[in-house]
Amino acid sequence: MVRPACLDIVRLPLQIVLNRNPEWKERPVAVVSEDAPLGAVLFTNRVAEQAGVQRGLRYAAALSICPALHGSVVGDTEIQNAIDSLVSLLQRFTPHVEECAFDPGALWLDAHGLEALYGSVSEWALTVRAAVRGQGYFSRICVGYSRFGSYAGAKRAVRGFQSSAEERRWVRGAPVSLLPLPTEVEQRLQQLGTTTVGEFCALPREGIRSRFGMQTDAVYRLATEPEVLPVQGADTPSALRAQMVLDSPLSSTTALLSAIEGLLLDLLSQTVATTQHMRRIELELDCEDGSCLREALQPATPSRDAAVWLRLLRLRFESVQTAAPVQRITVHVEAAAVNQPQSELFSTAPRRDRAAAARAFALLRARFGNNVVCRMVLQPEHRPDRRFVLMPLDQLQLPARIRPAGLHLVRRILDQPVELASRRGLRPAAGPFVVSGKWWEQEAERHYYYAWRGRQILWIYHDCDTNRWFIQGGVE
Amino acid sequence: MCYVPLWCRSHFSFLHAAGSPEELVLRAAEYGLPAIALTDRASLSGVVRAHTATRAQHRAAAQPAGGQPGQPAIRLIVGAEIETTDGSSLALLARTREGYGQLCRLITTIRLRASKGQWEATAEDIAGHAEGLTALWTTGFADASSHTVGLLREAFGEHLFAAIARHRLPEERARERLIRAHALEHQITCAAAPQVLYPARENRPLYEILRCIDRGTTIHQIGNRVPPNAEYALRCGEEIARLYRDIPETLEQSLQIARECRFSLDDLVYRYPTERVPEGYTTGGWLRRVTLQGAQERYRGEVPTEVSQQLKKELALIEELDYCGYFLTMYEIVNFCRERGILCQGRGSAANSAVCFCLRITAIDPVRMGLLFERFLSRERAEPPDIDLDIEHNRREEVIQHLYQSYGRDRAAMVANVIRYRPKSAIREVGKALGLPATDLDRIARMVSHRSTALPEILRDAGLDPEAPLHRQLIELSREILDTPRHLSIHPGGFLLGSEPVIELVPVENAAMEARTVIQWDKYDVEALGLFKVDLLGLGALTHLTGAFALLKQHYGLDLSMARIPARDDAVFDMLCRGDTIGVFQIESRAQMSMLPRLRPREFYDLVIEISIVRPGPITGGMVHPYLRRRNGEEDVHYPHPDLVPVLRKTLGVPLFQEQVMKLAVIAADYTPGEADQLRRDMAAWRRSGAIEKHGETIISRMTSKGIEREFAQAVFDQIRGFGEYGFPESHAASFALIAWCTAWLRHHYPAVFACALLNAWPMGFYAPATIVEDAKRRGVTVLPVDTARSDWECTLEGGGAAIRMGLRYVKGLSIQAWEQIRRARSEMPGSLAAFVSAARLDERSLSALAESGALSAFGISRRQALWEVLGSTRRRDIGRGRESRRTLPTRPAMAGESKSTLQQPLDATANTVAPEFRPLDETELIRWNYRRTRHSADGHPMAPLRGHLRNRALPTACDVAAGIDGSTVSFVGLVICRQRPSTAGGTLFLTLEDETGFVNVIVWKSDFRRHRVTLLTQVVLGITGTLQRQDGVVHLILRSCWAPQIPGGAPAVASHDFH
Repeated sequence: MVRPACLDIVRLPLQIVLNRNPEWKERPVAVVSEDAPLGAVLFTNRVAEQAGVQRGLRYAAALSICPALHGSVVGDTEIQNAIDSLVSLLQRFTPHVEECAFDPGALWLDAHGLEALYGSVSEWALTVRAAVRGQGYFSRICVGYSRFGSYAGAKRAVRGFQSSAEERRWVRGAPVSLLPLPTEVEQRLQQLGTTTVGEFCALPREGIRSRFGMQTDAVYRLATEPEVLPVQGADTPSALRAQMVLDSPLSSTTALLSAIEGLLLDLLSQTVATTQHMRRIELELDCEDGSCLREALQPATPSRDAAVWLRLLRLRFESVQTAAPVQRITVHVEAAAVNQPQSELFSTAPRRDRAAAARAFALLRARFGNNVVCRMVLQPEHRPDRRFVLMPLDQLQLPARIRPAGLHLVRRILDQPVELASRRGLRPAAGPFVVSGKWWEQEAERHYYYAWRGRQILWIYHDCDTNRWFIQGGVE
Repeated sequence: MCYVPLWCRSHFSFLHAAGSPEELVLRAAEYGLPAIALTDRASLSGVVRAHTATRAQHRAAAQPAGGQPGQPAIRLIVGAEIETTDGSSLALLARTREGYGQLCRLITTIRLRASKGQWEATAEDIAGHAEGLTALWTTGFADASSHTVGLLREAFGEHLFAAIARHRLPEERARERLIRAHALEHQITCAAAPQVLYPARENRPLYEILRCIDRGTTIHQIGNRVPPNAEYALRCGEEIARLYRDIPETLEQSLQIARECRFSLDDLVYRYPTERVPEGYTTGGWLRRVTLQGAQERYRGEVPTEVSQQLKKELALIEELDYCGYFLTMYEIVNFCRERGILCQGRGSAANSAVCFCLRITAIDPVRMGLLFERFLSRERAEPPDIDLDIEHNRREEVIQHLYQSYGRDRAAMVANVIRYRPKSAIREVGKALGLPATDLDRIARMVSHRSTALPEILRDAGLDPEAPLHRQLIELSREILDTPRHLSIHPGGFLLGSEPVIELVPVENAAMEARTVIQWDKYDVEALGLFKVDLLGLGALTHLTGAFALLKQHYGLDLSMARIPARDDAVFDMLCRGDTIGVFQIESRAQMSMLPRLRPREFYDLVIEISIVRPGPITGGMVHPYLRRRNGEEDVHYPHPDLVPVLRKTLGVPLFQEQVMKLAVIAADYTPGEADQLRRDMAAWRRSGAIEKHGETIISRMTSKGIEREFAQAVFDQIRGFGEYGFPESHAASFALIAWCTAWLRHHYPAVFACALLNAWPMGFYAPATIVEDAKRRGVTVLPVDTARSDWECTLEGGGAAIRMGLRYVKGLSIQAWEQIRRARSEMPGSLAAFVSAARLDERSLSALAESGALSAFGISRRQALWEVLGSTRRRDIGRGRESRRTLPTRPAMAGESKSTLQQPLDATANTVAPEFRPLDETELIRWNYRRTRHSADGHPMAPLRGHLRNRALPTACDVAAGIDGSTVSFVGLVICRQRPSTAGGTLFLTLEDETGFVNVIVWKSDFRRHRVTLLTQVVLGITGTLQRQDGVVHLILRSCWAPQIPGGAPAVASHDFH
């Protein structure tokens, strides 16, 4: 026995935007497919609608109608995150929560048997809706006798039906526009004068499939299917978590390490039964004074080798100090399936052991922080001090072989230019070489020179704006 | 020590340099440089402008201020920079005329083998065109192979040089060492040649913005793909001397190269191609012969004495100036058109010539009209005549191909049109390069008109702070980039014809259109060099007339032409006086319709004035109301100065035509012929902003000094400025008035023919097909819907010529190829929809379009039924081919010779079910479907089904509004067919609303527009409450409020004609 209910988070992407920007609530807002003139308006709030902005307009056209319109893009990840958090919430009210495959704002719930807990399914529905509201989302919920009936009811703000016969009757008269159909199919049906779900269901199925394709056929089946499929529960998250509440808060690093190692070993033992390795761990240390210290660790490659993890843990804790004694430790583990490449079994060891380097970098990161290992990346800039940046190193690349031709001088650049107090004793060697700077940022022109100071060649420049001289570096 | 810049790019390197050729010449002259070379990238597009600028410098040098001899004038070295596929680059400079010809040939060769805007050159190409050229190896010399160096050394001999370019870059020193060593090895002399990418250092931001536009990146991302400093500006002699003080001999070498490059564009000897004339005739003799013969035909054997005298005078001058060939060319083209039945007519100043009239190039008799020949051709002006020929727009290509065949592609080439940055494109592209959000730019660009100058206010209106640094840069650079060339396009119809191959005169390159080539000069360049240009322009109105004449012959047996249409017809003038002119050439716009009842034309010349008066020139010059008052006897005719009486008599003392304002400048402002000519050019170059402004103070001060009131002088200048935007010369207006008269005559006497031909010539004119159809219906014409069994591609006449059968060209989504398939299928007489679908083998899109438009109704099924049947038919046809089905489709009754089984062929071969029943379309739905698929409705006006609903709310029809009382308050609901906000109207919006009975013209003042902006701009069906204003028979509704009416089933999908 199934008692399907459907929860419809009305215009979910728009609600996400409004939750992100609460100050926009009284202003015209639209969700657009892209922040560009040709982007399409996907959802609008009431203020925007009143200003004449309609769904389907180009963003530029919408702006010309309503210059004060706030447009925003909502990515798939953002929508999925919102749904994930709602699924977690809804699992408190029913074990069976299923995302609707064709409508990201709709969720199916199984209300069967819950009237005993809540008094009635209506009470249960109201509680669910209130909980969702508490999360910041406006929703509609309908408890029906079929999946499609509850979906259609939720879309039209019907709370429930007295009987399955009533539901069937109501569904047949419901407008076809609530069906999750592709826009062009919806338009075609309107052209054909098919305005209600009943009329849609009266069309021959073979004709539907051959004219409108498989997706429409699937909706047609859902709308006409006599049996009710059970609501599937959501997948259990694969991430692992362990927590320890300490009766007496710990302030000693050694004691802390010991406690964390215990938790970590427990978690490692859980992964042994699977093909997964631990890719990353996050530690949360809740202190007595209310503060919380968070640390993340990541080895060179995913591993379930306890020695590797314990070594990284110890290195990190050499430089970590907690503000107050720790009363709760939580360890989150991100696991990943790892397949040992078969080819590695036959490969000879390279002259440069990149794996060893990666291990060393992991140790450095554990000891000094995650951004400590960097590499130089050249930039297409003119000013010498901007021609490179330091970027965190993800993976070690073997250097390209360089064959210097002829005599090459090497310029060394100072971390910060040093002002030249006096030019006495300097003999010009070459210059000026002019770099005008970024005119759009009002940057000053610099005149670069090479100059002898005794046997040393200095790399200096004159800042034309301030009329001061600086040493940029030297030449070897 | 001085030098000559030998490697300079102007903005005619298209996004690879900033600054015009004129600016470069001017800057070089200011620096006292003896010469400057212009070396744009594989282009000579800028050389004429640079040459004109040097000529101006020569004139200035010849007449120095204060009588003191000035500096010797600067000389232009004509050249181009050619980049080869191996990364080298050479600046090629023309030493001689032959060298110039070689350069043109080389650029043509390398351009024609690549796509538009590109070229592909090798060292062999350059070596093959070395005669008369000096080559300066600017890039890649140090890395070039010995073979390449040897090849070019052999081709150019001692005229090959290695460029030493210094821009204060650190890497230059090492490269220069290599160049000098390489040059020594190959015995090539080095010459100083710093690269010039812009005239002055302050142009560097614009240069970098242009590079960003070209690269499709932003200024924040372009990095080292642009030079690091502003040392690529044109630099003075002293600065360059300091820079090259260690190698002064390279500077001397630049001077030596300049001395050797003696070629000037003045050396171009242009000869117009000699027309083939019968043996025993000279071109002059033949022109005389055909002109006099034409005069006999034109005047039916009785040529008036004044015409003979005028012809004699004109022919003598044409012969003296050696322009006979040009007239004979135009005569030949016109004859070609006549032989092929292509309607054509000369426009512009050619209508001032009796010779053109007798040769049937123009249709206006200039002697009868009192038009001045000197406006067209004069000895003093000594510039080639300019004859523009209007040709039916859909047959212009035939004439173009004829010209190519007659002269050959090497002697005939189309003139370029330089596409330049205008305010909208400037904002969009500069903003993009500065990294501004696309939506902000789009918002600003939509508020900018082509004459916008107040950018800060526009930014503020768009909700942006004009004082923000980035926005200030946007404003400055958008102004600076204006008029910078973006790319070359094709002039609408300008041809350059030459006796010698054109590619010896100017390079030719590929255009975007297939099989089209274009020269690198635009019409201003061609004019500046005194070359002959033939303009072949497409005109929809001539297509309209040709179509109408063909229909008249087919259905009424009437053989009419423009010349045979009666010149006087009171009934037609009555129609014009009512402003009833939808579809009438040139006088159909809302403004013209409002003017007609005020001007009340009763003769042909009134039409000439009508056409000229509703133009920005007379409107901004405040000439309209004085003229109307004087015409209606409400004001005395007076002249600002006695000398101006002959000039202004025809137009009651008010200047309305371009010639008149020019004559005013000559007589009242003492303009010399040269100044007047410059004024005419500046007026003609109306898109080039600011060209007119420089005449302002001169004209006003000189006129006031002669005792003319300052107010009048200011008005005359305002009008000149208006003409700078758009204005007509009298002869041009007369040519257009003739077409206007012919179309008006047809509209009055043969409304079905008129509307049918107009619908076949569409898109053209001012109105959408729906408006043309509704107007025809109101004039008693029956309009029959599209039908696959009866319609052709074009609209046709049925019922003895009284009814229009709409053509399938009006079915949106149906291509002409689909029509060919339908035509073939129709010949097989398919008895059922299934048989038709099977025979026509159309795709689903075309079939759906036919079903929705009602064109399948002949098969006896409803539109919805037809749509259901054809949806997915392509897929089903492929899947179900050969399968049998028990299902049968509705058929039309069997015709003789058809069997029952033919009529019952199945369409849906995979479906065994009975076709579902669909609700038939109601009247509103039917009209809506018609509009969506065919842009019109033969079944009724969209407002007609609403009439009962509107009548219940006491809302009148357009007809009722037209009969309303002046000053009364009226509410009206109608379909918006036109929205206009002309720049001359100070923010006022003009709306035209339509219902099944006619039009209502609405005026919305600026403040009301602001208040109701969204409703006014977005509603298809609009409700208006306003004050009825009746003046001179013209009725307007002055808006007080507006609303969006509740339309049962929603508003129809009707596109209005907005802001054109």
